[in-house]
Amino acid sequence: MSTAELDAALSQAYEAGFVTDIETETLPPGLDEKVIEYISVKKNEPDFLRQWRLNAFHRWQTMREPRWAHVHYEPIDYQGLIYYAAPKRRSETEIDPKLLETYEKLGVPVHERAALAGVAVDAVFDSVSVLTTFKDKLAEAGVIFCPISEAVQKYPELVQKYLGSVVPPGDNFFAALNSAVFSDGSFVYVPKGVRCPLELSTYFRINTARTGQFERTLIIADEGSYVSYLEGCTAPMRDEHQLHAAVVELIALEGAEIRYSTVQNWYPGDEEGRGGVYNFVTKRGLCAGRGAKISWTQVETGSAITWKYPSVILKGDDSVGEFYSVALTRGRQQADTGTKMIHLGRNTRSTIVSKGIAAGHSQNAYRGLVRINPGASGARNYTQCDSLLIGPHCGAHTFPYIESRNPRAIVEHEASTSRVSEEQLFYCRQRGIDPERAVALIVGGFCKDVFQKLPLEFAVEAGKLLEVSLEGSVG
Amino acid sequence: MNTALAVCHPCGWAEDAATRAWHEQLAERLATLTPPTRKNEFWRYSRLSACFAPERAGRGLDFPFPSPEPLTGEWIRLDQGRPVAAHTRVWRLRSWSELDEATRARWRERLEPDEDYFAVRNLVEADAVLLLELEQTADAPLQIQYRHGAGWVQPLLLVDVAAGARGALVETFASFGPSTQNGAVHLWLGEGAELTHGVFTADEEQALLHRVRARLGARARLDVQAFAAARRYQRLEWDVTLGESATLRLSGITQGEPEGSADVALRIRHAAPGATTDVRWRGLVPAAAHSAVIGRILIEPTGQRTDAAMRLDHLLLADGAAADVKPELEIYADDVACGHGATLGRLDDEALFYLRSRGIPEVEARRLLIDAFLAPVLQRFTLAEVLRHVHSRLPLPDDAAA
Amino acid sequence: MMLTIRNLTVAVEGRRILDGLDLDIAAGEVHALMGPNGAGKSTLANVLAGREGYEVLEGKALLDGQDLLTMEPEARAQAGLFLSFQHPVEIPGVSNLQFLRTALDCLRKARGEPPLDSAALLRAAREAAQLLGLPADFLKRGVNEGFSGGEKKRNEILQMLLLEPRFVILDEPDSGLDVDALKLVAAGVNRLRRPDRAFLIITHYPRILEYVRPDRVHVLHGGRIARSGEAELAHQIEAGGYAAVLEGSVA
Repeated sequence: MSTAELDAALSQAYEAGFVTDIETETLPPGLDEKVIEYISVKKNEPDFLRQWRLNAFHRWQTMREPRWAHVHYEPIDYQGLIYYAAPKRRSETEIDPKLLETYEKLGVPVHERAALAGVAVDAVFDSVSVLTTFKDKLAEAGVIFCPISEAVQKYPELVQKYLGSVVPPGDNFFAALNSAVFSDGSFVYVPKGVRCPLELSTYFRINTARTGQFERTLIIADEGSYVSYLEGCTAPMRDEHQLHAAVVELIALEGAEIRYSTVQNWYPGDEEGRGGVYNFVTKRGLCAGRGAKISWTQVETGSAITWKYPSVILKGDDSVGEFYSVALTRGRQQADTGTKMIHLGRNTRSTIVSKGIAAGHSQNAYRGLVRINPGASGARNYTQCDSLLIGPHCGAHTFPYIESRNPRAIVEHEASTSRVSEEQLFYCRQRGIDPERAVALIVGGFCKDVFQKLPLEFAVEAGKLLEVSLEGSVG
Repeated sequence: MNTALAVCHPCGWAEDAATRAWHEQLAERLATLTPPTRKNEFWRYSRLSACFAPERAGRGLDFPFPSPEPLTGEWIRLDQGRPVAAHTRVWRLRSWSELDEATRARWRERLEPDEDYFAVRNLVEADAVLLLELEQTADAPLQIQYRHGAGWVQPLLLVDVAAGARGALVETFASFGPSTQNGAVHLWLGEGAELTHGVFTADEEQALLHRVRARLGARARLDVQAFAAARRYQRLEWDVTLGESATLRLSGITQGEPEGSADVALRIRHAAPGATTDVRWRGLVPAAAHSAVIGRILIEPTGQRTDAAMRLDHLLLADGAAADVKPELEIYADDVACGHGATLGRLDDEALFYLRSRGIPEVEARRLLIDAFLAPVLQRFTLAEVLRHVHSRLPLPDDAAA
Repeated sequence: MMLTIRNLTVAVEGRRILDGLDLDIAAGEVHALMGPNGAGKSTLANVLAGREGYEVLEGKALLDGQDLLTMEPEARAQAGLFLSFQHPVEIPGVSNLQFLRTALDCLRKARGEPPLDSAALLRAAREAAQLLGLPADFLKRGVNEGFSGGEKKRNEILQMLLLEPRFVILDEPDSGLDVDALKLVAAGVNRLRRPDRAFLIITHYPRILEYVRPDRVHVLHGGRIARSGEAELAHQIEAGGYAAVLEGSVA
């Protein structure tokens, strides 16, 4: 098999690209204080939150879009976007069957009886959460899992205490925008000593055209608790770009553990780079107490552009941060993704395993910061960062930043770049395996270390997603 | 920045009309440039303020240097950026004024545009422009000794190693008074040429920026052996482009000094197939010292069959030590084997304990382990002139090892 | 004939390696192809399996009447051709078992058979591993990942046992093996000998032929079969070297 064959056009195999025909309530495009007031009033928010949004908006107006990432795109017209879109409700209790159908079609378990064993789901459609399953079962354990808009009503003191405590409104351009206009997202609180009895999962869907999605997720794991959370994302195939600027904040108190997994499959755009989601996301966790642990696992196959760095601030002594990532780009996709591990506490540990796969004409960059502050005696970091190239027209890049201010810390970083070798392909084909399956097999092997970190059900899903995404990546 | 002063400076730029016009354009460009900030990825960790301290400002003209130690073999001494004495035999040494128009035109083209403030400023304000040419094999290295003592000092060396020629250059730096040297060397290696290039900065007390820009022809080989000890601010920069099947081997040691900051910036570009890069840099960072190494390996779509490896390792020896490392790969070709590795750490407590349990005092044990850490780089140092200097600085003084 | 090669002429980077080679192998037979280093033995194996980088200038190669040279590598495998590689490549992260399952699924699908159930595959794989003296955790390890030379060779045989090809080419299956490992490899081959299956063993040394008795022995020289004979020919080579048996040959 020649590299020319390897490079043969990638076919679009995006299975989540349909549009749900549903009546929605949308604001006209544009962003000003009135839009923010509208969102706040619509959600019946307390004054502190309205003010918080407005402050964020004012900060955002003074900020500039970041330009340092290894991605290129036309300027975004922020006044041309819709900042609020919600499916119309027939009544307070009934959910439009078309919505249920949408999620079923996407394979999301929204019926409790048919659900995957042990997974509770929050489904977010455009700007609002449309349903949450297993609320009662979770409530028995004392776990709060609800749309953040509901949490604002029911648990305002928790929201006020933690919202923006890890990602402040002025953190960066997209976080500021999100803070001003965030519409919905999930809220999780796991009380002291509780091991959350179910996997929690949020499923994000952008449906309405020209709509920005700005969800906000806040997860608090109180002392000694444990929670595993998964998010999935899809969007219809549309010719114009869609903006997704989410913020996720995680807080793990003493001895608590949060596992956060993402299977991101936003619409990547077509072969020429028309359409697709701009995924500009800020995700950060704080290991606030001793022995806390936060683990990010991501499988990124979608989006036209991905700009995201799920990070951990290791403040508590002996706390642990992990980042396991598979990022696959093809067609004209661009990804600049990685992590930040900020070691503040003593004996803090972090592990980074990143696997980037570039095919077609795509650009795939790992960007990661490991920072050891003067107080982080005994800190350890290990980073393994591998890239795989498929075909001669793509790019794979590695931009690590390693900064140490403590002589009693140890940081190790290894990176490699290779390609699917013709030897490997020929070997598989000689055993009767067709080239597409052979590439999927080899890439799956390359990603094994990361897939092993996903909850079992999702590891299977991620493997399939990878296979579908690679379809047509060889001649 | 005083453009008028720069334009009329007697380095030779103003002697012919074509060079004058070229130089004026550069001066105009310089007027639009400002010193880099930390937003520039290549200067992200640089502590530049020392270069611009008032006591180092202005153009240093003369300085009362002590009488130098005699040099043997082939050598050039540059005081305040200007050649004051030289002895060359196999190497041919000429100043810009002595060059014919064809050679001048060739080099104007080779000194291609650059957006870097310090690079452009060096070209515009060069104290002297020297061309060194090697057409055969030189057995002994050409030694270049820089001394500076006052103000901004900006030597500019052009080096042309002809196809098939082989030789070695050793640059050493020393300072005697508040000053900033912003120097540049432009290396041009012809097909199959080989150059071993030593850089030794341990006698440098002041601010130093030294940029090496190298273009390697097909099958050419550049072997860099560098030892940097920074007492103030120091930046060593390599910008290397490799031709087909060319080889770059770059080995270096940073010996940090209290209150000193050492920057190493590498930009390595594979633009033709089959080239090889092998970088190995190790740093020792004592208390209150800072060491930064930024290394980028860029593989262009035309750089197939590249083999590139970069290892950057640091030992932090005491509280208050700081190290920043940024090993980068930017790859646009698929048939490549590229990798990098970096570690930041400390002496191994277990090993230290083991040595002490065998009766070796702690200071001595630490020295042994530091030697072991540096060994993989030192092994690659073949230039006797560099090794002699390095061994006079190692083992480290007690305060660094303690 | 199961395999028929006529006038096969192959160049690598412009240089003729095979030059008008003829060879016939009937079902049920084991043939050995011998020859000095560089004679083109591996070239023949690679051309038959469909590796890139070989230019077929003339000739044909038929497997059960199907023209191999026009087929994709996986189609040749699906037609029953198996190559035991001289230097098997590593595929990190893909377990042996996963690899076998994928290959079997593809082969069975091509034959219109349903996928083999996992339990049956696992049972068969364990049995084959045991036969070849491979440790129990072998199936979980990455394909050839960190294997010793001997383990790689035995892994090739393990795949052969499970994929049950009709025509097997073994490219230097004995190089780098000690006597015990060699016996295990030979046992694997002998186990598969059947009236409807054929083997071509490519080897430089006659050693393996002590354990797998060939029906015919060929000597490759000058780009074609220079000499053919019974198993006895291998002994002559052992005794007198290639020069002795090639004396007076056509090449």
